[in-house]
Amino acid sequence: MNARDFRPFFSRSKGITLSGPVLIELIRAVHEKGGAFKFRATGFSMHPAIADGDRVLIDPLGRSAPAIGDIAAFIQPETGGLAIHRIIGKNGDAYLLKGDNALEADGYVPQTDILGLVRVAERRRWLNRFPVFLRKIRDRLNRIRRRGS
Amino acid sequence: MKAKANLNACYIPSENIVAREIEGEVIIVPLVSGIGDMDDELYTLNEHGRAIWRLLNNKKTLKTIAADLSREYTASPGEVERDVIGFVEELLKRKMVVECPRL
Repeated sequence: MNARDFRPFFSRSKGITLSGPVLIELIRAVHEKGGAFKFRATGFSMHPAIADGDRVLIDPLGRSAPAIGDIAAFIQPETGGLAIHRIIGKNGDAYLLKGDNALEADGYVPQTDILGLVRVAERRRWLNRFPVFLRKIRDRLNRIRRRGS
Repeated sequence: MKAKANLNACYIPSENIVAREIEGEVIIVPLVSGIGDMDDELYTLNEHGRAIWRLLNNKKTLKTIAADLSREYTASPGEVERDVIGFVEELLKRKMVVECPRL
């Protein structure tokens, strides 16, 4: 290897898509520093409390235990991925979680797999919540307007 | 103003970032007002950047890091020193590392 082969650099990635386990590891790392973790939620299982595209904050668990009714980020028992649902029950140190729109609960999750409590930081702009066909019409009108100007 | 790195100083990761080596990748998340925001820029390092990052964690001077890496990569020490300094200056510019406190 010659000297010019040594080229350290870093790359910036905006809005990077991370796998569930990586995201979970990063959430834990940010929480270890006492920080909160912000990211864009996807899916409809918590609509309207959390809409698809809302930016949510995951706060680290404080000294008080999560309570029934809280929205929590947790490691989904079946998939091992990250999920955000509401706490609907408690049994000892385990919590029963369920999406507001889900038909079935996720099952009991040990407190060690509850990553933090969730609150909405920013609602997705209403324009971006247009149904797809309306968005297409809007985009076509914009294109026509641009061509005309 | 360009941040200057000193070859005889050591640098450590700043308190304003979270860095994790996950699945062979180093991912750096800047903390802005205590919040790590996935919609902001995240940083990943290439192989050589990762090698420097690991050595920074050992609190070695940049000169020692460059000497270690020039042996590891059988590259000229002078060239590696320049690259290490350039890399650390980029990290300094983004406040990802700070100079080790002097004892």
